[in-house]
Amino acid sequence: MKKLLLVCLVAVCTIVKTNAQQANPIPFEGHVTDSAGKPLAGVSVRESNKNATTTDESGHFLLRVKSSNATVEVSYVGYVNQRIKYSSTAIHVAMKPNSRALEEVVVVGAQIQNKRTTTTAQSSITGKMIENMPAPSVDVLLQGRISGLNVQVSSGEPGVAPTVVVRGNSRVNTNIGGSANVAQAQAMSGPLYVIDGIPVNPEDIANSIDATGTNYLAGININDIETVDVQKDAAATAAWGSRGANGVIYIKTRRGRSSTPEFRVNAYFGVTQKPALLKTYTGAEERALKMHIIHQYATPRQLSALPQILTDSLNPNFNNATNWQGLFYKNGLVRNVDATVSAANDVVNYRLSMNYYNEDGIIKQFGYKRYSMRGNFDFKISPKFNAQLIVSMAKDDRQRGAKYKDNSDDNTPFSNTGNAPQPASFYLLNGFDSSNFTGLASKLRNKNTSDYYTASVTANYSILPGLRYTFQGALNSTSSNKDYFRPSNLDAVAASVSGAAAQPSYALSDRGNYSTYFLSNALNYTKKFNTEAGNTHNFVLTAAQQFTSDVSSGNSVSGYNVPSNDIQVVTGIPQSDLGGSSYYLKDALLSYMAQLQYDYNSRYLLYASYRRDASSRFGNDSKWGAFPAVGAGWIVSDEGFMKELKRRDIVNFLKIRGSWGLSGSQSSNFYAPYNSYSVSGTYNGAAAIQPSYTNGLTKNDLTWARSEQKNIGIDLQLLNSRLNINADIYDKISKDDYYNFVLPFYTGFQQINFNAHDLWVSNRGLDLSINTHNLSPRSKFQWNSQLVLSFNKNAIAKLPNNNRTFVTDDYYGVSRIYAVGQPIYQMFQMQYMGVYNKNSEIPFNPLTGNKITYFKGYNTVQPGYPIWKDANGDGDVWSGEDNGDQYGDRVPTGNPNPKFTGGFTNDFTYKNFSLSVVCTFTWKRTVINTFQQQQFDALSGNIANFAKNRLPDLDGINYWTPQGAAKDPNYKADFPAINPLAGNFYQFFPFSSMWNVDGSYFKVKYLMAGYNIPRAITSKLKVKNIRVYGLVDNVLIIKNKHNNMPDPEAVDQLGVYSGGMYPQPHKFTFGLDVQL
Amino acid sequence: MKRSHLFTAVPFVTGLLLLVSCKKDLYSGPIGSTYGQEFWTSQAAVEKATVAMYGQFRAGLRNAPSQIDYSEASYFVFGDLAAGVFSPAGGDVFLNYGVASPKFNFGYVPYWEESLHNWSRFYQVIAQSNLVLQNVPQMSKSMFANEAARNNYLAEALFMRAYTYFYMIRVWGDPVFVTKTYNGADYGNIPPLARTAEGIVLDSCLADLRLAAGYMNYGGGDPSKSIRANRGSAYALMAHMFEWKHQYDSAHKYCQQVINNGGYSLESMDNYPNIWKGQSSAESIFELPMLYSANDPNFKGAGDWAEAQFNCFGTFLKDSKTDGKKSSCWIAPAGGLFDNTLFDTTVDARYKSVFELVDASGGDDKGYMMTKYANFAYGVHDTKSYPYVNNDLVLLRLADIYLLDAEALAYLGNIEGARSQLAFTEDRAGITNYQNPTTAYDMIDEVVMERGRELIGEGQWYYDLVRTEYTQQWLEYIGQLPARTTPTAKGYYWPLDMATLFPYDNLLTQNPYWATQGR
Repeated sequence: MKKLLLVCLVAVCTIVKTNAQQANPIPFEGHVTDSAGKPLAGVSVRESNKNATTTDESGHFLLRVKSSNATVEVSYVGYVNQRIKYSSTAIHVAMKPNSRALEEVVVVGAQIQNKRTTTTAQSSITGKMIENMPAPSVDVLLQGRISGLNVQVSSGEPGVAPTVVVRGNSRVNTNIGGSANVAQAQAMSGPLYVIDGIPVNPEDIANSIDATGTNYLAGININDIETVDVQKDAAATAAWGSRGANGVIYIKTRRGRSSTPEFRVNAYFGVTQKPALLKTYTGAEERALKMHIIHQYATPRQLSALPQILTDSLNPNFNNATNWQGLFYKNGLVRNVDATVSAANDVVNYRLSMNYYNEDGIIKQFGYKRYSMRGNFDFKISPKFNAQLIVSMAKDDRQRGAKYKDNSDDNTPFSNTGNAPQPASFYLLNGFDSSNFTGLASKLRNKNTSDYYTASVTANYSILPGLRYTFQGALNSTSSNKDYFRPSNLDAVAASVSGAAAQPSYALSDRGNYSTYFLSNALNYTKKFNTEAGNTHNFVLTAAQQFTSDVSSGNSVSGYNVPSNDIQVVTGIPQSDLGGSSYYLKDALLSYMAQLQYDYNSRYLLYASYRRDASSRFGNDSKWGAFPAVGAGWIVSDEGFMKELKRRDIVNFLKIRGSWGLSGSQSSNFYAPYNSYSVSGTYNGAAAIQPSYTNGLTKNDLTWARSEQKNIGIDLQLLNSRLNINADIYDKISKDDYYNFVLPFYTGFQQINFNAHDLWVSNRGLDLSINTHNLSPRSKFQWNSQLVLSFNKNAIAKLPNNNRTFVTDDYYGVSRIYAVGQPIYQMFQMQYMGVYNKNSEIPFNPLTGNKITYFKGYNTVQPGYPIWKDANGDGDVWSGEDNGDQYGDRVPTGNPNPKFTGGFTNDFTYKNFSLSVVCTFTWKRTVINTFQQQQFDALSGNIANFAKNRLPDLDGINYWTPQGAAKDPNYKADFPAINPLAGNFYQFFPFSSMWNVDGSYFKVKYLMAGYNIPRAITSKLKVKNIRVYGLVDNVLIIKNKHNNMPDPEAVDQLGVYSGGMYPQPHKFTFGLDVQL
Repeated sequence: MKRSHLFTAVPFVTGLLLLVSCKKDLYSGPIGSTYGQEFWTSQAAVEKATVAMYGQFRAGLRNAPSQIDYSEASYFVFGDLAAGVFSPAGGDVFLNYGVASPKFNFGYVPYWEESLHNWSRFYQVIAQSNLVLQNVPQMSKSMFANEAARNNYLAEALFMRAYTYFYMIRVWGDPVFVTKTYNGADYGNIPPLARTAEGIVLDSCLADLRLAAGYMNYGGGDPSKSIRANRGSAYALMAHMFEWKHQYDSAHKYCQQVINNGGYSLESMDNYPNIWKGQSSAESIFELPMLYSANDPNFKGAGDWAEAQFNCFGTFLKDSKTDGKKSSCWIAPAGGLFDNTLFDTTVDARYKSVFELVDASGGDDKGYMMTKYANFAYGVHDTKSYPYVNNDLVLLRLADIYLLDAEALAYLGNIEGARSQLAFTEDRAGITNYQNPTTAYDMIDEVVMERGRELIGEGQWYYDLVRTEYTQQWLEYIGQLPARTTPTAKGYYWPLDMATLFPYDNLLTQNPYWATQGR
């Protein structure tokens, strides 16, 4: 594929070159910037229709004109046109923004709104800002760029989706204990994506076709993206109806822009670097350290009975220094090639692009590859009629090591929980182990491919002046295919490893397809009334009807005991080991909406929308949901009293806006209202059918979940637009969300997923983004900054059953409390407060007068024990599941939702050089290091485990020892005893807050430097522009000093670091961008 | 221009047409599973729902904790282990907490709470019965072969609901009594329910059973009919319920119905193990099929619904009986209740037929291993994988009814009548203990002991001890504290897992004795 692309490239190059002939003699050179001094690319500079050019990336143009009297017109959408006389020296053109221009628009529902007069709260980034960033999908790159958006990249595995949450999580998932994957995939409320007008719900797709688990957005080439608009308030989201409740991300792909045909090829190449290994102790050092620890605690009798692995240093099986981590990591490559052809003229406008992206994983056997093509075509058929066609195709191929079901990183070989704890370095590492651990086992096959096809047609027809009809039809099809084979280990290698458990071979073939059909009919009416006094009333009225249907189908066959390890597909499997299933799901959504925009002199703005949706996913009596929204705005800067400030360029623009609205989200279950019955098994050979006891009751009233949102915001441009501030405060209440009700035992049913009318989640916060142009527009050196801050306060506002508090344990054993006033997933643990250093510090049980106890009276507290707070004051400290007091001494201890997140970006340009520094940060969230926890737990209370498991990093861990306490009356340890010889009362379990740590971080995420080859050279090469650039990804991490996790972001959605989390790699790339 | 109009019209009309068709899409149901309104439309469906009821009950009885190594069916823990004849397997420390030391502390059984302190699984059977009872009467006549067929389904559901409540009552005491389905309830606000006195529940169940018996025919001793309810099993259950309520006249009456009209006959001593062989004995009144079927989709997974399992009956077997798959089991220790009180091992033919004396091994004491359920086999013979025990679990059988009748007659003061009923099983076993007793008290004691011998390892004897406690005090004899066994303390019942159940039912109360036993 890569070769093919290069061949195409060369072919097209040749064609284009022959056309690039210049007839005119006099070169006219210049540099075009915006009023802030930032170079403008793509600005049209034309002498006549036949003789024109556009500016390059650095704003330069060179036009050969006919004579020295020539005048050229410099024009660019959104700016006032300028006519410039020829000058023999290079000129500087500063373009003034055309504040009346309708260019910067945002699509809200079926209506196109001008960003200047919209009353919605939305933030955008342009494709330029994320171009050439080496990431498989765009969502990762939105991190820190958009206020109100919290993106956390929990896994660095290429092709895995990050968590994207708009204005706080509203999902209250109570099924977090089952598997790590559930928490990862369904703990948070994800937004709706609208790609070129077509709504797509990646979460629905992921839930339906989970064959490969690849991020849906990875199917879109980042360099094809023109803008990403994130719509946050109800005025914007209500018009999208279904799933708008959690925010809408609108992605628009690039169109042809240049009036002359343009060919562009862009390639970068780089390396991904393996991370530093965690500190561990090997060989003699490990043995010495372990013996040292044992000597601190052991009695002479215990010393005489140590495990052989520690004492027998001459045994070749136990005499190694294996650092197991080294098995997994490797350096890799990342490469990307884009080729684009585009042009725009009065009749047709096209852009065709091809892309190849390939990133190796930094863990062996991981990687991601994509081939994609996209074509955007605009046809102007008549002045009244135009049409647009978009087609795109992509194929990706993801290597996933030995993982075959979940996306959770918990099952990377590196994790503690997925496998046994990592063994001590003493063990001999043989070939079978290493291939088994790294998923390289010679015959493992794990092929994951996805195909993405999109085709959409839009037709606009002006029926009458001001009245436009728009038809939109689209098909979006995604398929995922997985072929998996895991050989049995009953082969020669396995047989040589004593005690290896027999594992049968397993083959799986899984196919799934998810198609979305979308149809929209819309009428748009624009009317302007001029009054005699010279005022204007502007109306835009839109009415639309939309129909969406999703069809998800697929099949899977799998089986154990494939006859031979040479056969890697599902065939020849004994009947009883064979499993097969297929599924078919279909839903439909019918919507009607009306949207009205009104403004008076473009200064006083009003907006109202009303949308009704009927979904097949709801009960017969409750299919319809209504989602109204209103907004108002006032452009203060247009008022007379602001005239002076405006004239003096102090306040260039000030808009105050507010909105209120309801938006909805529908059940994730296609057939939610139906109480499903299933075949449970046989009784004396006869098939039995019973309702599902987890979802088997009728739900005729099941209906839309709603979120009500209020928003007030200002948009402010100061000091000649050098300081731009956008700020919004919001109050969002999500109600009636789908909730797993635990039913009373006497109903016979365990739970049901239903609208919880008494489940309210409140998200309040502030979105702030500040853009500055720090230097004068006339300066050659330019420095622009962007600071983005998203504050969010998340809390449960109401709970079912009279606000009944409840507690659920997550997959890692950390309890979460669901209580009114607490944030979702608040940790609920015994409070850890250090170590009891001496006897005198241990408090007494007020009832018995004896020392307090742990674990329901079983353990009298001794020096060296952790201090757990006796929250209920009963003289015994325990999590207390079964002593009648169901919550024991647990208290709310930590919030995994960050207090605020954001980003700080600085762009520097000087002449042909540019430099961007992108930083992101997350502040004040509690995370739990269960990796370290499990390492300590694996050592405690059992000398055999202590001997055979790996030691954690003990640097800086001042653990309590009896010898230390005996020597010094003022002895102060800050970590409990790690005594492998005394009883274990689960002191290292995460049911105390011992492992909680501040997960704040500040990352320098990208450093990107570019250089435009001077025109003098490029013109000799007969190309328009050449840019070279280099990028460093994940440059620097600053974190809390107590946080010893390698990457504080590599925690799951509930804030748990399991050690298996795939780290985000350092990437270094170098690229070349050539425009012909 | 005209052409452009056409361009617009095409999509517009297409859009309108689709609008019509999509109305239908908004109302289409799943094709991947069946659901309420589609399901209750044929007799075949009712049959499948009825079968599910039995299957759930079977799963409820076999239930055991999944997170510990030894999985012993709660049915035998309640009925046999709690009676003190057997000693838990050497490896099962957790069950040891509850039944060995201190003796019979039902309140502390770590990891077993879900099985022993939680009755939720039986409410699933109740819900399924209620679902049948609610839907079948609403179905049209034409969906059934005839009215009798419809009534028979109703009767089976009434029987299973009654049996389930009776089972819960014997284990936990007063149940929460529910006779409706919760379809369409306000799921966030289901009102809490308090427990109903067991007598009231049993009266209601007895009324149901009277009705049900009229809808059903006798099985006539046909072993293949013993796996579903019939008139014989309904009367046998009624006899048990009356006996539990100490209404001995009625108990005697229904025992007689079973004995005289049921068509059952005692198995000969030579073929004694036939009783548990699976639908093979005319003695069996009601049994749950647990035989291996090659077509059982759940067999390899050995889940709740697997017909044949190793764990359930494997509890009683070890070493050579299991081809070494298990090295310890529930043993009746030598020098304990088994040989000191119950069995004369030199005479009793039952001892010879279904017991083996085994030496101490695998953490077990020397003692007697029971082989009533000992048809051990492998799912895949070649690789010796997927072991299972191929026997049925017999819940009601004729010998049980004879002895129940004997107990009723003894309480009624009819020593002679009791003697003659007792003779059936004692004669078959070749023992003659019954000839000695002359007082009602001694006679009842003899019946209790004979039930202990005849029904050992059938999940029954503990309830016999509870039932006769008010006159015989066997519970103290086996080691329960006197404070527990009073009718007000109800300490012979198992405690409920209040931490799990109470949050969803704020009217639920703990059994009085256990409410005072804070751990």
